[in-house]
Amino acid sequence: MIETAQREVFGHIPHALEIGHYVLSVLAVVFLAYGIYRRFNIWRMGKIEGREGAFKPGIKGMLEDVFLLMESPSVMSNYFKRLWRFIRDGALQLRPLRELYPGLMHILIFWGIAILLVGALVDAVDHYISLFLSPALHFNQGFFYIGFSIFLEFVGLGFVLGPAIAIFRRYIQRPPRLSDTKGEDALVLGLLLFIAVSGFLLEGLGQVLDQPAWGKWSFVGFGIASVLKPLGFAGSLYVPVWFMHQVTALAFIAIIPYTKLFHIITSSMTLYLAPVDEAKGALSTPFSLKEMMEATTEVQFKLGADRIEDFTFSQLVSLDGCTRCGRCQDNCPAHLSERPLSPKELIQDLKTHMLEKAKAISQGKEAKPLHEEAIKAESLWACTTCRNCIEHCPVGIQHLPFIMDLRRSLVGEAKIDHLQRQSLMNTTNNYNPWGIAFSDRAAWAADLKIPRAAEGDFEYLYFVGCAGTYDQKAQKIALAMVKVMRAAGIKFAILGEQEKCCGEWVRRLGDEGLYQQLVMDNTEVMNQAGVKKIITACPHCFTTLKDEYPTLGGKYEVFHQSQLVSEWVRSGRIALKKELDLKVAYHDSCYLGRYNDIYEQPRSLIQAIPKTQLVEIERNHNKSFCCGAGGGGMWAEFEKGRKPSELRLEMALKSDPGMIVTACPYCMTMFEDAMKVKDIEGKVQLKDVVELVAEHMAV
Amino acid sequence: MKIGVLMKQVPDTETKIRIKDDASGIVTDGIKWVMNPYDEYAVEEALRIKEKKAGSTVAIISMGPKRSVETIRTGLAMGADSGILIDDPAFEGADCYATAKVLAKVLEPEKFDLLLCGKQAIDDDSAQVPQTVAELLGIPQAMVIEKLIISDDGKKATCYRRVEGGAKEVLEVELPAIIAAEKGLNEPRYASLPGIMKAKSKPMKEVNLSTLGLKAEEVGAKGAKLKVKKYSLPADKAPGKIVPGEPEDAARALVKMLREEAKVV
Ligand SMILES: Cc1cc2nc3c(=O)[nH]c(=O)nc-3n(C[C@H](O)[C@H](O)[C@H](O)COP(=O)(O)OP(=O)(O)OC[C@H]3O[C@@H](n4cnc5c(N)ncnc54)[C@H](O)[C@@H]3O)c2cc1C
Ligand code: SF4
Ligand code: SF4
Repeated sequence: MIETAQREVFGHIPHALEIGHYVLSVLAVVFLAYGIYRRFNIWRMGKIEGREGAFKPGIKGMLEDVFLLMESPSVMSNYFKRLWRFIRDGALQLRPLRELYPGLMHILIFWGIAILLVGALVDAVDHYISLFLSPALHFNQGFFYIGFSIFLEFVGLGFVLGPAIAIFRRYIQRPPRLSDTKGEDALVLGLLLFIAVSGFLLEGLGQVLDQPAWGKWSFVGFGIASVLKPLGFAGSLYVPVWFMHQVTALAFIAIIPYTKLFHIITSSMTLYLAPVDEAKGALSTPFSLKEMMEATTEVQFKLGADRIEDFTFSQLVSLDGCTRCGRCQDNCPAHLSERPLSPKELIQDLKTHMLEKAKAISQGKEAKPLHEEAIKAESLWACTTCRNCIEHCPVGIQHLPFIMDLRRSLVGEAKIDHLQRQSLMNTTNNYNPWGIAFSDRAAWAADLKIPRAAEGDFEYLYFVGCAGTYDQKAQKIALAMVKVMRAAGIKFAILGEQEKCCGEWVRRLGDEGLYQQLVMDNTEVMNQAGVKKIITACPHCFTTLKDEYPTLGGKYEVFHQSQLVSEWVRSGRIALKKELDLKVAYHDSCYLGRYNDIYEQPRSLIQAIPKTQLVEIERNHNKSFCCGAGGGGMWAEFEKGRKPSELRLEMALKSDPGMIVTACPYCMTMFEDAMKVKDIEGKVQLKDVVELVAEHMAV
Repeated sequence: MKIGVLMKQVPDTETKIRIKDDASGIVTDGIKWVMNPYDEYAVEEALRIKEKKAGSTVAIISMGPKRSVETIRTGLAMGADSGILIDDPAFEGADCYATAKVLAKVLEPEKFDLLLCGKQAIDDDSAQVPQTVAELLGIPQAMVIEKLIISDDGKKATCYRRVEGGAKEVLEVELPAIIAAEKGLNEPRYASLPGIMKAKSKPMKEVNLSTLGLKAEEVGAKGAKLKVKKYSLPADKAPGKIVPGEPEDAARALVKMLREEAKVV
């Protein structure tokens, strides 16, 4: 009996409807293709490597661009890595699954559609090969048919459950990050649920009509059939339900490029196109200041982006790739401290602007400006560059390059406030953001007799950074590190008065010119002194020296001090003998953690101290909540919202620590200020992990 | 409007001033030279007027050694159109009068509609040059100005300044006049890279003793009415003390210290 099990495609369906179904299918595909074509033309407004000037509209221009894209490194480089990431995070859904509840909901819908589509495809292939080639090739029958049916039955159940959960979550639970629910959300979810439910109904009605012996294997359909059969008229419903099921399924395909369903295509593209560089923190280098200064004629250049066309093709695709899931916003310190920025809204606002601009161009009209109209400067300045949005975006959208290029153009037009100007002027004049005399750069080490790099004979250069140099609390970190390095017996030197700000925050603030000037000055001194290896006290210096200096002529092996110290402790070069009977909470710095994946080394140092108990703060490791100092936040004032540092301190205090430990002088300063405000100075200690080591070494 | 801004290059405020061994002046090596902060307000105000009045130009005029060119360029990078550097070894050792004399000589043929400057240079802190220039040119002056309004026809300036006791004084002057900026007049803009690059190709005129047709005896130390005898640093301040403890105890300890150590109460 089972051997003969099968289902007749287009069974019970009048011939006219069958033809109608084909016509509608063609229409759906035409709609789909046209939508994609239109959008592709909009993305082409963005920059494409190798294309001079603005994009050419029309099919010919599009084909030219497609060929250029196929040759462009940002599309074709690291092909296999991209593909693997696409499979892992897209097809296998590992990225969305990082958040279990919404991840499961999504995977039910995603795999539901994908597998049921394959199911339909198997039906179709089987139907056509046995129709047009040879009936002998008919394979969808017997045990295969039964097994496949059972499998699809489970998938179908998931496909009912997925949209149901989504509807429950969006309309009943209503988490804040889904606050921008639109009409299309209801349309899409309703459509999905209808397709899923009508599919099962159809199956049930089919069984009412055919009463196949193997019906019970399609257990849901069987259940529905046994309920409907006594009604008598059920069989007559088969054709209308079939038709509606087909129409909605085809409508689903047709509306893809016109609704949020487009993310099926655009998110996949985004995930594929996202950069695969090892150096996650490196920003783009739009020009070489050195070449510009050496040029004899006036150099034309553009600083950052003040039009949507200043972004790349891939960036514009990614705007359409955003699914409005809100994960970025839920991890954004600016948003959570009620500052006027949501990375999700930023992407959505850029997308809206992109569409408006495209429309304006096609109608020969002026579009409204990008700055202030579409994106407010205050949102751009609110970003701490903590990278949490990128880290948690399931489709790999890169928010920061957008923010950075927009900031660059603001700085280019001198649209900065007086505090920002002051810190940049200070850095221009005295090479540190506070504007303390550059001649005092080595004052912190006055009595330490540390050799200068210019005098040669050293293995490591200790790059102290502005904080370790001038900030009283951070100076203690540098002093502790000197003690530890001496105990470890390594040969090190400092640049002394020749050291200048590394420029990391200057670049993140958007002042590419001053940044490159600082890089030129620092690399000149370091290259002359023959520097090969650098240890930094600060994760910000670390990131820019390691990931950004190489493109500007400074190639060194760069370590953050916590990396080397943990290695020295592990190898026994430094022994931690003194006890500390205390609960110690470790706060992950963004630039050490998310930017450089250094999570365990600082923790290992805390754990290596006898009797010390390491406790975790909520939102730790790659979810760590920024202290608020990055991206120029250290030198900014915000009218709106709370201080991220105070929120972070509150989170830390929940784990009831006797001491909070950081590995970044910025975080240290922010915690210090927050502790003053909360009046808990002296009640909870605050230290850098290297200070902790220096105090518990056996000497 | 043709606007001229008088600008002086001064040591950065953070500079640790050291006196020459013979006390004749300060040691200038290792000094970072910047635009006199009050002159930044003057440049900014000039640029804002230029933005409002089509066809206006802004020139930066500075007397000083060759290095002053860099600071003039900062003004050009902010948006000014041209620069004049007045440099000659003979100008060395000038006081406010000798400086003003040279400046007036340069300014006279330029026929500026408006001259802007800082209320004082933060190195010598004299607050004398602009007034003297005004006298020598025979034009009105308005000093320490916090708010400036130029009339639509460009013939008159309304200037606001604060006077003793917090009152405001409103001056109306006929243009051309010389107006000196006080802090708060505006927020100076940042000279960012595109500006710096444009500044590279803006015209910069250099004038010296002979092009001005002045005699060496009239200018510099020889032409000065004031001679600096010697420079000295102020005495080091004794470090401050923080009185710790609960407010009541701290207050008690403080009174004791004021009585017994400082002997002021
Ligand atoms: C409120 C006040 C009261 C004072 N009272 C007295 C007093 O009663 N008696 C006394 O002896 N001294 C007094 N002084 C100090 C004094 O006058 C000087 O020592 C001096 O004459 C130096 O001038 P300067 O370079 O500081 O120029 P300033 O006159 O302070 O400079 C003011 C502005 O003039 C322009 N300027 C100056 N030099 C140049 C240049 N080389 N090129 C282009 N533009 C330039 C700039 O715009 C500058 O901002 C006073 C100072 C102040 C602030
Ligand atoms: S980098 Fe951090 S602060 Fe900036 S938008 Fe992303 S999450 Fe928010
Ligand atoms: S940018 Fe990414 S994380 Fe943010 S809403 Fe869009 S898809 Fe979600």
